[in-house]
Amino acid sequence: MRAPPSIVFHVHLVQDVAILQPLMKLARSLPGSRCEVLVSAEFAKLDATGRWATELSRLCAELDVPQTHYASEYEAYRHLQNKRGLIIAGSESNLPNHAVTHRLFASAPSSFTTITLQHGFECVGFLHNVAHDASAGLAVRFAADVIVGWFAPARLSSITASERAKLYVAGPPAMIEMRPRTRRSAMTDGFDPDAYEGMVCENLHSVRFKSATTRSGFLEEFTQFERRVKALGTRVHLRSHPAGQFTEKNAIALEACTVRSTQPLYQIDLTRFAYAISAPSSILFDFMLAGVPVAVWHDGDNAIDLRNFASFARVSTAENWWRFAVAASADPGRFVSRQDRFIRGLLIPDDVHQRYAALLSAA
Amino acid sequence: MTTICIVIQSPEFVSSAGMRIRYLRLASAAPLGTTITYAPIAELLQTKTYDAEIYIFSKTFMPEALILACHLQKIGKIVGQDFFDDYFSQMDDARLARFQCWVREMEPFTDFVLGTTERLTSVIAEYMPRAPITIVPDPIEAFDRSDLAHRVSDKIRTASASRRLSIYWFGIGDNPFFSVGVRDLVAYGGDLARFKALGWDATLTVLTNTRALSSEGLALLRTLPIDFRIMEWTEAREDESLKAADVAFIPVGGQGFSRAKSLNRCLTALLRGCQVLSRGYPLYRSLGEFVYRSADDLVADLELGQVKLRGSQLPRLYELLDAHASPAEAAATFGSAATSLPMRPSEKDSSRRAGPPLCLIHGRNSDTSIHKLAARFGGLSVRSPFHEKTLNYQLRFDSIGGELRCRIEKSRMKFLDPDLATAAIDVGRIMDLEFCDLPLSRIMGWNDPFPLAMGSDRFSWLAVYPSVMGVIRTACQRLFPSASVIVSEQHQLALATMHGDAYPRATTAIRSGVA
Repeated sequence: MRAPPSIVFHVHLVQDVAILQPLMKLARSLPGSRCEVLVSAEFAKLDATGRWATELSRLCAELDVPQTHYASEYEAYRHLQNKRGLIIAGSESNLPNHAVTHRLFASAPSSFTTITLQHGFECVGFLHNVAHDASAGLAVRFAADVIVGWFAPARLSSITASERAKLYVAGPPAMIEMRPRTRRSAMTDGFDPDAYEGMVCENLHSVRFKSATTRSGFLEEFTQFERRVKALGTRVHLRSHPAGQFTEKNAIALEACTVRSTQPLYQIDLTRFAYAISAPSSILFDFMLAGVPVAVWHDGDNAIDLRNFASFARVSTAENWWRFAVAASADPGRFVSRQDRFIRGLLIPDDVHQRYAALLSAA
Repeated sequence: MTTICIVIQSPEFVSSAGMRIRYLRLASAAPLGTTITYAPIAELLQTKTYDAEIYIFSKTFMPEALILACHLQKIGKIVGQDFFDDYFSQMDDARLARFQCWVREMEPFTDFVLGTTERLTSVIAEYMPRAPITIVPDPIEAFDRSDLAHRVSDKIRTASASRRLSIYWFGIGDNPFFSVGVRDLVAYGGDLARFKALGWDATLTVLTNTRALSSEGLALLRTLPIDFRIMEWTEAREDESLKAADVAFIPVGGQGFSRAKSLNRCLTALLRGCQVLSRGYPLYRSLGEFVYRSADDLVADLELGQVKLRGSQLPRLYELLDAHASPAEAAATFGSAATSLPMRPSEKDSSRRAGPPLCLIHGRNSDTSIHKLAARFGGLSVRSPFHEKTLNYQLRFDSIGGELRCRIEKSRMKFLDPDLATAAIDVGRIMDLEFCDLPLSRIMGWNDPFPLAMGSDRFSWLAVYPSVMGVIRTACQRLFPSASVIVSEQHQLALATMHGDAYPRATTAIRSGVA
């Protein structure tokens, strides 16, 4: 007798947890679904702070999903061999960083369909910048049977020809369950320091910041920006990329006005921020979806490739940062309407929720 | 009473398939007056007493074995080699040079050779042309004939009634050198799809070691055209599974390694009542009456109720077992091959000659423990210019001033030809010992020195390695004619330079460098 289908979520990199979270919630909401989480032995090693293992356990407890840890492909195989269904990974490709998941997918029982997700706005194998091309090449491949993209095929210019037939466009998982945008109106009178609170995000570990001068450039500008925030008596939130945690690991000293943001992004109400500044990163896209004005940071030498962020507001010096923060706080509308036009141009499907539900029901 | 001792590589080898399938079965069927024991090589290197008359080396591909074999011969023991895997016919594979060079080094210390199959013994004969070679097949284990008869008829009845077949592939799934195991299964697995096409419900169980179940191994298995499950191999599980299985699928590849294998896997399956389906190289042709070559033939016979392994055919199977795998016969052949040679008098008893019993030449990669071992057996530890350890060698071949120079520790001078000893020049202390320089050109009969410049780069030494080692080997023989010469080398590339026909034979004077 055939076993009932299972939806298996595979977690290896720490950022996989946040990527898979909306799908796990959706899968559990489907009637009769059987879900489980399969965790690589390396996950615990990559999660130096233990923050993501705790979050994964919390999530599994909340959704009532069992977790299984495995140390070799065969252990995973043994666990899966009498089952069938889907295995969904937050990240997978033939690149060294994804080797664990790649090997698992290549060797999983054939009773499973393997699925990997586009895991960022710019994402290896889906949509590259110059640094991605240089580090990963132009022919990234997947062991997954299905690759799930965020945008229309024409906007995913880095999918190699041999992988195109695997593409299923479902949209960004963050749009499965959208929070309503709280409307920020232009300021009228009186000074409200909370209304000036924004977020600065760093992904200084990323391949985009290969040179140390680019890193120090970003940090110098941030330090100067902090001083102005402090002088105004408001606050700025600093968020490190969960896998990189550059400013945390390197113990960069922060002013008292700076708040570290460490919660999973999906637990934060992004709409409460007046603005967001980051080097090219998916987090800007999350803020855009939430209707928050965003600016992309670039170094003065233009060593950072902004090709996919062409219509974003740009800042480089602390002076630019400040002007943008003030303008975004005072009149968010003019940024947001431009951003919404950009999002429309990506041709994201209208029915993201239904598309993911259909995918998960294919188990 | 004669005692034969099997020399094994390590205590762990006791639980290996080779031990289980071969030596334990041979030991239990040993002819009257012969005892078969075994001992790990480390134990034999430490002991002072050697109780057995005959020592047979099995899979001991290490320099320690060469030293031990040399010593055993010198104290009057008979030394044999037993082979059951072919690492020797692949002359184009440098990874196997270490096995091939080892056998060549072992040749002078070998009185007789045993091998499991005709093919294997013909391969070994190329390496060991002097020693008599005997085929000793892997014997079957003891089994109950009435149990087998019942099992066979039960399996046929149940399978025919349900039209369901449980097929097993069993064994070690990987090999560091050869594409075998699960790779053979997948390569020949296409035929397994035929059962379903012919209206039989067939499932496959893969019973193998976990090391074979790497990502690559699993990815290969995924391509099989039949539903399968995987079980981890244990001896007990193999026995139990095959007793329950209808069909054993045993594909065989065509490479030398696979072609030299014994009948063991096929016999194991037949004796547990399985029909055998073997694809690929016809390794089991001597049991051909009981081996299917295609799923279609097997299904056709199942439909007729006339499968090859059935009650009425068992007497014929027993005849074939007697002919090819009888434990008593195998043990008798084993015993007579080992005991038929005249016992050699110990060299101590016969004309005792002066000088060391062996010269142990260190190649590029030779362990300090080998240096100590050579000393333990009264041998000379010889430095080649490729050995970069700082040891108190007793004989040194160094690269000095652009030429190869030979230096001997002073206390060993007394064993030299007096003419040569008078030509020695004192060079003082090297490490803790006093040395004299010997004219290498005179030892070798050359007019000029042997030019040798050792570069400091990583690989240029390889170019001169075979010729220099050949000179050192010949020089050792001429300095100490009664000593055996052994090269201790573990460096893969160095071994590869001595691979195949390029290997300098101990008896060949090397003409290189200056004429």
